[in-house]
Amino acid sequence: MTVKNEGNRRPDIRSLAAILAALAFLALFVFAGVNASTTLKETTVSTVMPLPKLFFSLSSASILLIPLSVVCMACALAALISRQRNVAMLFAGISFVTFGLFLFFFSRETMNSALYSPLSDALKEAGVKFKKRDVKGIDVSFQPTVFLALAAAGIAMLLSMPGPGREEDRRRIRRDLLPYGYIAPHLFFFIIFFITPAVYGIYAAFTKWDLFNEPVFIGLENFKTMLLDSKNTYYQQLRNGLWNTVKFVLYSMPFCILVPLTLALALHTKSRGNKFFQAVYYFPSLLSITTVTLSWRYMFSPDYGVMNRFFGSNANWFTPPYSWIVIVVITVWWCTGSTMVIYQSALASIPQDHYEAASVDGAGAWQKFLHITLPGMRYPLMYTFVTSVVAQFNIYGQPLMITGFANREANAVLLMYIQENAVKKQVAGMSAAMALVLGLCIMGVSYFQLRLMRNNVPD
Amino acid sequence: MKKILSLVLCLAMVLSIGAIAHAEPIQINYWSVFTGADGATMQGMVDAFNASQDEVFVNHTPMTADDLYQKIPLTVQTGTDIPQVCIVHIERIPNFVNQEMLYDYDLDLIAQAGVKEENYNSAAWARTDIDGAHYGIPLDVHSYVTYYNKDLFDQYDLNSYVEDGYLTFDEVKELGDKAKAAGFTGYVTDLGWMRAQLLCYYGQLDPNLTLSEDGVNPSINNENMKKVFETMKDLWEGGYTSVKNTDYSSEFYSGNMLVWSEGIWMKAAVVDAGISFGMLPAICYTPETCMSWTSSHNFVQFADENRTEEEDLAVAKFINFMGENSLTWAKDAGQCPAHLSINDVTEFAEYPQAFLADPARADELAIYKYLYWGLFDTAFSRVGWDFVDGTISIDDALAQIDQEIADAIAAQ
Repeated sequence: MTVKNEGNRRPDIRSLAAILAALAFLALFVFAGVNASTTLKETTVSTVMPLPKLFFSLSSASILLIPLSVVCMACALAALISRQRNVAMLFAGISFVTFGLFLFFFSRETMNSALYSPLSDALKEAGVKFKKRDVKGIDVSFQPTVFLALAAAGIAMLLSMPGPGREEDRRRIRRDLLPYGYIAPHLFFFIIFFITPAVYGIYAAFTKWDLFNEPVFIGLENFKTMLLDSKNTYYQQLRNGLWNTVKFVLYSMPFCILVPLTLALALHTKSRGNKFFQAVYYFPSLLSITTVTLSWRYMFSPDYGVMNRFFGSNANWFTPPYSWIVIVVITVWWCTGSTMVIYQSALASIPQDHYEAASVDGAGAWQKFLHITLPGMRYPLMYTFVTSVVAQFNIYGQPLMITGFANREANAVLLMYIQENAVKKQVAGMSAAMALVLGLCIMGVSYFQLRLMRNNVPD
Repeated sequence: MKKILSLVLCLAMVLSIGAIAHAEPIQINYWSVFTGADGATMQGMVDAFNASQDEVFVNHTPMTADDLYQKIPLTVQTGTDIPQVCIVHIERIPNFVNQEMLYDYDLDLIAQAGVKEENYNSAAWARTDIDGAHYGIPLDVHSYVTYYNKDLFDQYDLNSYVEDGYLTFDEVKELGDKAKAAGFTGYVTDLGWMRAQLLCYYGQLDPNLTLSEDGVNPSINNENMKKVFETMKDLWEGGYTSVKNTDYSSEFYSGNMLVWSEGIWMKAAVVDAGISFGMLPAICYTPETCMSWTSSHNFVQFADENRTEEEDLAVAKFINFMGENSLTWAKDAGQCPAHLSINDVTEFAEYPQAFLADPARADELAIYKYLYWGLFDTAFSRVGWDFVDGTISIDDALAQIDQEIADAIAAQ
């Protein structure tokens, strides 16, 4: 909770100036650019790379500082508008420092791939024959607008600073900034490792990109291909992958709820050895999916697996429809433990006197379960339902290791296509578009589930 | 006492001067695709190189091929932690060159360390000559070959089929029928790594190894490839091959398979299994047209403007050492070294894979060169068993491969 240190008064001149400085930073950032040049065989070529374009090239680690700087200045602006100058000072300061660090580190790069690409094109256009190793380095200089942006960030920070204050002011600053100090480490990593990749992933969905060269913006072309061109590979992959993912969710979800619920009810009877069995049932969820799938793969092996021996069958468990059974069994075995613990906790929280009263009224076990246990577990059941559906939509390891793309891709789920296209085939733009579609599907399903859950929240 | 103290101090000073004078070795980071037993063998060779001199120290980082091909583009693009030398498969090199990810070798510089064209397998060396520059130094050539169980061949009197050093498809059927008639209940041969097998047979029908007419767009959907697909399907339908999802290596190790198509890199495992075996080129249509799909592990240097000439020379010394001491690679990893000095080693001539190093039989090695090998590999591997067991028709499978590659090229 932050206390507005300026009350309800209108913003003073200083705050207005700080707002203008922050806006100037953001505007200058859009128009600022980097000059790059290189000389080869007495031919000098140069190019200008706008900073926003450089951000989307993601061609070096130092570039990760750009979004951090921009996001922080946007936060500072928001804080200034809502008259929280201390907070604005903090964010503008971070923005100033990170932008400065970006300039420092980027100026030391001698062969940035985003700069090399247009320069090599220019060299080729100039008729220079060369190999990459001939280009010994790229000279980088910043346009004046870059330094103006840095200055604007600094001014925004300085103008947000409180004047030489009294003890009361200093206490107020501490009080205002302390919450941000607590969340700062998380915020830093959240911006670098979540916001930036998410923004970049969404942008990549609208590009043609081989992961190595600069992405080329192509608008909605990937989506048109994927959704409308029925002869295209990616149209078929999206349909097949999405349908298989949905099939898997439908097949596995009932078991992902019922099996842990049954086990939790069994353990709730507090029979002898229940702690031991609780540990046994929970154990698989501690293992990696690779270990789990490999173990089950051996057990279902058509040649020497225990399953065929046990059931006396000669079924090939790695072909449909059996392969779905294997994948569901592995999934349920793997994720039962964590859901079971939630159900156990929910069962323990149901007052015992409800059951005693029901017994006095002559209710049987089934009636007690239906009218006391289930309503008492309504919220945990809904919660696990939502989280399990989201988790199952992200199915990947089990089908990949059990069947891969065999059997005419009968068990190929969408994440398998996304990973293969992005990394193995380097069709990253299309892959990002597929990921966006999957993300939207999960968001849509989650939205309806959350609404359902809200309607079931106990009073 | 003072004298003793002076003596100790002098000695310490001399020793510390010696330590300062002793130059630090050049550190070379080396990534390879060798894991498991091959990884251990390679590490042993690297250790031997490090122990043989004190000017260069090589840090070996093994990883699976999939991991390496995923990491390398990101490493080169970001310019951080780029290894000075790396092992990649020869088929990957044209695309790496196309993406300007590789530096070519300075042939004069590496010649100072003894790395020269005339010392290497000509077929493998020539494949990495691209646009007048040279990009790969081959460590080995590794082919897909045919193992046969000598004990079973003796038991069922089948040795006449392999006397000429080749095994044709017709002979496989004949020997299978003969063994079965004599009571053999196992598998005649296998359908294992389909892509490798098919590329062996395709090379026998098209020695130009055409995967693309124009070098870019795929032309897999052709009559020769169709015939290869039909050959495989025919073997399966005739009951001569293992069934889907068979653990074919276990079947061969346990004496339940007569003829096994596998890579020469599995030789050490076969030896460990205690099988008495023989090795032949890939199963062929006729001995005259026999070709075995072959790849080659190549030392390459990815683009890194920070690498110094001194480091490049150190890398060349390392590569030369590996070439001149590649008997270990042949012996423990079962590979066929690309350094021609191996032909002078008497011990190597006794190895079953020695025929692959015979310069007179160099044209039996089918080393493919296609710009979009990675895409081809993925698309080709996808149809695997599906066309054999009829899940997809051969025509549809071939059309699907071409379509998938073309769509990926268009989307890149």
